[in-house]
Amino acid sequence: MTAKTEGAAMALRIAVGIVGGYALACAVAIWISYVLPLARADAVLTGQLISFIVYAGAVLWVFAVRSALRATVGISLAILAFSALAWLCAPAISA
Amino acid sequence: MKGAFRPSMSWLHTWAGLVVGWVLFFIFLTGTAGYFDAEIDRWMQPERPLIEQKASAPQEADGARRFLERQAGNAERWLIVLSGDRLPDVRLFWRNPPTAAGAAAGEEYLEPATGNPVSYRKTGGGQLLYKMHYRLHYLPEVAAYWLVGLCTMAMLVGIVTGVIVHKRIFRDFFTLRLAKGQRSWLDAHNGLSVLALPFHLMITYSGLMFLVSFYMAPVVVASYGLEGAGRGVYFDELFERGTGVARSGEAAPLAPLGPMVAEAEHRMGVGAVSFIDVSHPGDTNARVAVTGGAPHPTRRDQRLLFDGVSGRLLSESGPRSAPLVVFESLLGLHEGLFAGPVLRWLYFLSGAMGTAMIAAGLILWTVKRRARAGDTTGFRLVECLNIGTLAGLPIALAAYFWANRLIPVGIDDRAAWEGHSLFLTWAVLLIHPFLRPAARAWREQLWLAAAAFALLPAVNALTTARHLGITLPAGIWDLAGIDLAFLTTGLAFAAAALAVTPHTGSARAPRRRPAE
Amino acid sequence: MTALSLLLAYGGFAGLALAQERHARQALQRTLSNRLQQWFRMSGALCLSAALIACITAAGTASGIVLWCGVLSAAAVALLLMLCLAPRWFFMPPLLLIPFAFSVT
Repeated sequence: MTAKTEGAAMALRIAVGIVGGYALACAVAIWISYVLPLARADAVLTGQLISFIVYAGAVLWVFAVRSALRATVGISLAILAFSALAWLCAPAISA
Repeated sequence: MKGAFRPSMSWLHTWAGLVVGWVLFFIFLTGTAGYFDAEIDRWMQPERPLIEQKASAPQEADGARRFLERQAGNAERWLIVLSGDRLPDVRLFWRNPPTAAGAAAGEEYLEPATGNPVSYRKTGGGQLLYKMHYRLHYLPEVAAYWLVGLCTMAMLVGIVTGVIVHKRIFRDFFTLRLAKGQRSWLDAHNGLSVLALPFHLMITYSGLMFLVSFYMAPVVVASYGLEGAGRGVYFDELFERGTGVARSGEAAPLAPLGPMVAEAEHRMGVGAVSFIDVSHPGDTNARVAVTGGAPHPTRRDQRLLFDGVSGRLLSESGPRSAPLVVFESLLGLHEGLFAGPVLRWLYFLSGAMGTAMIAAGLILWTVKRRARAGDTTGFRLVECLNIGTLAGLPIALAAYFWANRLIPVGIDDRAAWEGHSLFLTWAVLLIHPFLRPAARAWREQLWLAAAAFALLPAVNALTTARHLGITLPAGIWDLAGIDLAFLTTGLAFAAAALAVTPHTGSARAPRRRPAE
Repeated sequence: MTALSLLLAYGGFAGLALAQERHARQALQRTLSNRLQQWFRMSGALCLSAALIACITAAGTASGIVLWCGVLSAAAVALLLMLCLAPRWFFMPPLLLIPFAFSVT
């Protein structure tokens, strides 16, 4: 692998780690806030409490897997899966 | 980067740490100083009496109310923070209705005994240092919060990867080998991390939690809708448990606060009331919430809600939900407001260890690469930022205290200029290493830091009547402690400066060859 | 009580450290037999637990646990510095604490 493609792969990992990790943390937290059998505010707070554990885990995973491509696909799939789960579990919004 | 798990974690640890290291050093340094915010406040207002006057909580509440009715009669909310062990003043904050002309909010500090505004010198105090550690300075609020959040997140990643990478946590627990170059810096970095690991983890994760509803706003939006009002509903459900009411629009006089505070003291104990929150003063729907209780890491304060017109007790705060207890415990642990003197010093020590751990990590980066990449631009940049921050920022902090004593009392924007002094000094000290060989820049800045701190008690003695000669015999330990801490810091920097000065056979000197 | 807990924490960590060959050589100029190592490790752990009890007695459960974490960090740093700078005198810091060890706070 040349230095250039290696650099691009690293840039991709960093972007996926920061942005993808954040999106995944949000998706998981939203899903948690929907499915927990708690008062609405408590469920939202619980999702938020856990969100940064998910974020940190996602960043570690992105840098631990073999290739940047695998990291991108993996995180994207996870975001899609949890968004879909959240969408399926979503209650009607009442503000 | 390819291959084994541990090397990739090591890579992540190194670079995540390096990129945000200097900002983290700033955050940890100012935050650690912030554990003594009240003491620093007091030091920075030497006009304060040696023994502060006290008043009873009901008296303080009534005095505050008189002031607020005069100055903020149309506000939609008053917050009255009563004086306490570490808080000599009654602090008032108010928020005006969004429709009103003029400032959106205001604040004032009152003398507890008289109810008059305090007239000490204007200063940023310890509060500015404390605020800078999450709000930074000069940057717009939103940008600062995201920047701090990103750095804190990198810190969290740094801690987890650090634990993964560290091969022998328990075997090396007490190992510190001096005068061994890279090995010594690694030992120091490891020791400072491992020995205060619970603190580092707690402070980092809880740091993220303070603004979690800002960082993780989409989670709130997902349940409460996109409109701004949704956040208000969320906070009301979470903290007030739906006890908030809207303004009726009809005027009605506010009942005296004294009896409500007395009632609260009857339940919580005399001196236990910490603050009073008055919403819609002067309206028929006025509500007065009196909060207090023994200081506790989980912030388990009691909250009594009174009808603001009749003065009748409406409700008492019930038990909190489990998620709220976890959340508030994290915040409570981070702030350490419950800590007595000993625990406060231990908090300070842990914070100082975090600060030093970051410094050792940043230095380790350069020590490791000096032989290989010592003359590249990137290396030089890191080395200069290290000198200008690890030595320069403490000097800038000292400059903040010098400015407090030397800027004439009464000039415009005095408090702001104290802050500017800090950042102007830092700016100069960030430029300085670029103009000097690295070893010499280290030496010069470390000596400057030693002098800047060690001379502060002398400057204090020359400019005020609150110096060690007075505070020590009088046993005013919170003021004396600050001066003594300055002296100790100065001596520590002098020791560091001696260590990098040649001819002393030291740990650092032989490793620091001049950059060219 | 806080001084007592510091004393216990320092003693506990000293026990754990001396159970390691490197530190035993540093501090005592000898290595300990396996049985003694075992014994040092055990009593060290016991002292650390006792420090927790002292902290909780002093400050209540929640604050006590926080205090214990702080006390452990402080004691470990003190021991680390002693082992690094003056290993033979590692037993000195506790002596300074003994006068305060039986105060109630």
